[in-house]
Order: sequence, then structure tokens, then C-alpha cells
Amino acid sequence: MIGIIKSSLPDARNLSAIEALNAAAQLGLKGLLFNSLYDLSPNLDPSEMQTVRAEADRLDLFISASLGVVNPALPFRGEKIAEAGAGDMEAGVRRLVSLAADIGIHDLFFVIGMIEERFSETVTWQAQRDAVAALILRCAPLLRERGSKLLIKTHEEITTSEIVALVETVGPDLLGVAYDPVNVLCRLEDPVEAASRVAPFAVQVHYDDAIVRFEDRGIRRFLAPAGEGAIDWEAILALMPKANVWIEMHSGQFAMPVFDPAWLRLQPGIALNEYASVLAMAVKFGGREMPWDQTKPTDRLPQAYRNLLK
Amino acid sequence: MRIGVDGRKIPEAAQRGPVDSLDHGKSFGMGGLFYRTVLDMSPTLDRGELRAIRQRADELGMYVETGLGKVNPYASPEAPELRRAGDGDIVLGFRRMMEACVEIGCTDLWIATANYKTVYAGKWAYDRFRTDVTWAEQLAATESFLHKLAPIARDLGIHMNMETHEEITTFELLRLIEAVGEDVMGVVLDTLNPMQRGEHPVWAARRVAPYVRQTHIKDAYLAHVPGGITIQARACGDGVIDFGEVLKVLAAHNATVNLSLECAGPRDASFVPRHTLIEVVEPDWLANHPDLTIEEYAAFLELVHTYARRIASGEVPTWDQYVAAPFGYDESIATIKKSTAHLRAVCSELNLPLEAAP
Repeated sequence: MIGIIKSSLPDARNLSAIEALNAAAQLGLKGLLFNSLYDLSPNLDPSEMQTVRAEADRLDLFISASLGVVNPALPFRGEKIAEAGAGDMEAGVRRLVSLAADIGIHDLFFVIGMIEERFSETVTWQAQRDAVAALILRCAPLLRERGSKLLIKTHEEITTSEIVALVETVGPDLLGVAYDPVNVLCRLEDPVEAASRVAPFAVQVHYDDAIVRFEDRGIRRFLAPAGEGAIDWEAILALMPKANVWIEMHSGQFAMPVFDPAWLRLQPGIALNEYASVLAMAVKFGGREMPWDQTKPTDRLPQAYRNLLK
Repeated sequence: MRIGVDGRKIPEAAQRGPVDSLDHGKSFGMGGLFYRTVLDMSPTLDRGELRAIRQRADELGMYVETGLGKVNPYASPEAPELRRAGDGDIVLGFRRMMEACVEIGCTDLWIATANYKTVYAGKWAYDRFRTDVTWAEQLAATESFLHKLAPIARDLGIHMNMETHEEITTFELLRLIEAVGEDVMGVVLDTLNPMQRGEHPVWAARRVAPYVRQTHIKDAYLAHVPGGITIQARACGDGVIDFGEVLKVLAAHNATVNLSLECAGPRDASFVPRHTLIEVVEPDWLANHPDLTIEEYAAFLELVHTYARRIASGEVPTWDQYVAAPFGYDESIATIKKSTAHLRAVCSELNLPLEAAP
């Protein structure tokens, strides 16, 4: 299954759920992933959501969705989920899981937060992850009853080793992985090595490409058209051949002060060979000017289609 | 501390011989000579020849340092003179060399583990990556041989100082000292070599500083090239090494250690420019350095990153420019003088105990 994340469609902001489904179908894609269940119905109205389901069925499209940000330890991050639960995040998760299951969406990916969460001085990164695990475990009976699974995304703030630990804590029947390789560069992980770690749990991948480039104090991640960056998709897809493929055009240009010992100490367990591999990507890119307009992620869609739909 | 020069790489070393090289060194301000081995001073360990060198050095107010040879039994066949010195018994050969050194007052003696093979590319130039015998086996054999030499050294009051040579890490070297005994072993700090093992020159110096009794001082050009990082010896001050930090830590542990410059000698007709390639991104190279930490590796790569700006600005010549430019007697002497001036400036700024030129 090769589909696209709604926000990566051209002019995505102005597309209704029905229009987005039709746009995806016209592009020859087989699925659409909504960035939020609120995209299907701003009021989470079950009948509106059923209408979207019916249109997806008519177009023979697979649909999925993101749950959003799940971080019980930092409630400001998960406001939309809490809103669904009348102010209670766990109730919100339960309601969204049920609403999704009602329209046949049984995989819901989420992130724990943004890159700064890892370095939070108010709540430790470990405490944030523990709170996520506890919440999912409390929802375990519901998830099992609805045949649903949450997928944690390899987002820029989390390492794949931390993700594997979370999956092992919660159980792979309840928690899977949405593998997004352009993000693991931010944690100095080699995308193929990282893929091999999460492969047993990977339900979906997020398709994009990226490079890292040296700057004054370290390296910065930039996004690249598929095939022109440093992501070895052939190797990654070989490691997770059954995973659903979602085209997602990213935009975050994250700086990594890779030479700063204090920064390195904040991420114990970086593998030397993977650090070396990421730095070698920067060496390979060299001092070239950035050839791709980072403010126009959808400009990269043609290369993604060409590579995936050939 | 005094500034001197390597006795093998001082220009015209072969033509002048060991005694005249002292006078030559003095003529451009050197405080002493560090002959690589006592066999360089007298291939037959002739006491008269050795005493003549000592006497001339004393007359000139210069230091004389020297050494023994490679102590890795797998490398010994590459230096048959070591076994010859014992008429077939290599342990006896080392004993005779040590006795000869003691007679001229040299009790700090250089040793090392292997020879760089310039004709091979990348890691194959380093015996660390030999495929017939592993590096662990070579280290074990080296340790075993050092245990045979240790009682002789102990009797004679000698420290066998192992060079931070390009094939050995400072971590491995420290483990050898721990195994054999710091009463008979020390370190010759080569300021450039540990970088060939991905070590940061200041971090490496800090690790071995308590044991440093002799030195090889040189600076290094580093740059990314296909396959890794190229390293090239340069005059002190022209490369990546922060000599302020290195000398501070050396002086703190041994305020009388001599700083022996090991600058490149004049090129001869056989000179072929070759990259000394550190394959820091190759998985098997990385797996071969289990003591290397992320923090140090990062600090080492930062040196390359920062130095790239000096190369780009034209402040220092590129690798290609450097090998294309002539490097004869004049350039060799100029490199020694430039290095000396840099070390003097650094010591003066930091108020380190450096003696004036003789």
C-alpha cells in the first residue's frame, strides 16, 4: 500500500476530507492518512466520519490517521486529544481509538512531542516516556477489544532504541512503530541501522529523503527530493516489506550540535558507527549550496511519486 | 624542557653522521638530538663512537636521547639488526643495546610496536590490520617480550618508553605499561600519531602524560578525502594541534621532558606523494577501535571541521599544494625553525619552563 499523508497533498489546507481522498486517488495512490481524526469531522461526528469512510471505499482507498501528540506528562502538547475527552487525555485517547475503529481505522500513529521535549528541564524525558507507556497500558483492554494498535513514530526527539524499549514495555500487540527515517538523523542514527532495530514492530513507513550539511557548530538536516538524499530506501523497505508506505513531505530543518560534548552527553548510547555514518553524509554533501527550496515541501512530490509508483 | 630534533630526520643526518649532526643542530638553535635507536648512533655499539657523541653533546650543552627498536616479535624480522646485535639472540641484542646506552648516560629509551608500510593504501599500511596475525596477538606477543626485557631494564635503571606509534592506541599502550610496570616503562608521546587512531591529540596527551619521558613533536594537517581523513605532518602552529594544551599537561607531569621535533626531512628523488588515510568512517575500522568514545571521536572530527576553514581561507596550503611545492634542505630547516618559534611563543605565553637555546 502506497498512500500519502493529507498535509503533504498540494494545497492540503484547503482540501476537505472528501476532496483529499479524491486528490489521492487521482494521483494513483492507494491510501490517505489523515493528520488528525478532526480532519474527518471537526466535531468528531460519527456520521460525518462514516461518510468519509464510504467515499474511501468508493475510491478503493485505504485510510489511516494520526492520533496527534500523546504526552500525559506535558498536557499542553496533547490539547486536541484532551478536548476529545472533555479535558481528560486518557478519555480522549479512548474516544478517538473507538471512533477510528468504528470506521475501520485500527492503526493510529502518534508522537510524544517536539525535539525540545527530549531536553525538557521541567519533566525528564524518561518520565515523559514512562507516562506514555502507562497510559497505553491503561488503555490495553480497549485496544484489544477494538483490535486496534497505536504506532509510535520515530520523531526527531526520540531514538529508535527508546522506541524499542517502549514497545517492549507496552507489548508489541498494543504498540507498533511508524518508521520515519529522515528523523532518526536528528538523533545521529543511521537510517538503515535504525530500520533494522524497529523492523519487527514497523507497521508503516513515512517516505521522504534528507541530507545533513555542516554548519558552524555542527550539522543541520535538510529535506531532499526522494533519491537525491542520504536515505537508502531500497535497504529500508527490504527490512520491512509489509509496511504501509506513506508519502510525507517534511519541513523541519533541525540543527544538531554534533561536536558539543554537553549535547552528546544528553543522548547516551549513540553508536560510534552510526555517528560516523551520519557525519559521513555531511562530508559527502560537502559545502554545496542548498539546491532545494526548503519552504516548498510539496515541490518534492514528483520525485516521490516517480520512485514509488514506477 | 628543551627543544631539540629527531636524530634521523634532521636534514643531512646520513651525510653528517651522529656527531656532526649535533653541531648542525646547534647551528639552528637545537637543544639536543633524539636518535631513534642506539644503532643509529653506532651500528656496532662501539663504545668509542658512542662516547664521542656524548662528549660532543656535553661540549655543546645539548641533550642526547636514544632508543632501542621495535618490541613486537611479529615486526622484529623487519629489523634484523636487533637480533644481529645479540648474535642471533634478540633478547641479548636488547641487553647489549641497553648496556651501551647506560654507559653514555641514556636511561630513557625509545621502543615501538610496528612499521608503517607506505606502499599500501588506507588501513593496510598499518600492521594493526594484518590478516595473518591479529593486533591482539601482536599486543600479547609484545607484552610477553617486554616481560623478558623488564628485568634487564630494572637492573640497569632503564625506562623503555613506548612511542604512541601510529598503529597503537594510547589505551592499549597504557595497558601494556600497567602489565609490564611503570618502573621500567614510559611513553614517547608523538603528538601526531594518535590521530591516526581517531584520538584527539590533547585527549591522548592527557591520558599518557603521567608516563611521558620522551617526545616526538609535530603538527598535522587534517582534511576529509574520499574514504576518510588524510593526515599530513606540518610545522607546529600550521596544523590542528593546540600545543598550549599539550605542553601544559606535559610540563605539569614532567617539567624537564625534552621536546624533540620530528619534522619531515628533505624529500629525495624517490618521493611519491601518498595520502596517509585514516578510514574513520569504515565499519571495520570503527570496530577495530573499541576504546574510542563518541565524545573523543566527535572532538577529533571537530578538529577537521574547524581546520577546513583555515584551509579554505588560504592560511595553510592544501595537501596538494604542500606536496607539489619543493621540500629540500631549506624548507626542512625552515619547518624546524617555524616549529621552534611556535613552541617558544606558546611556552612564553603560558609561562612554561622552557630553556633558552644553547
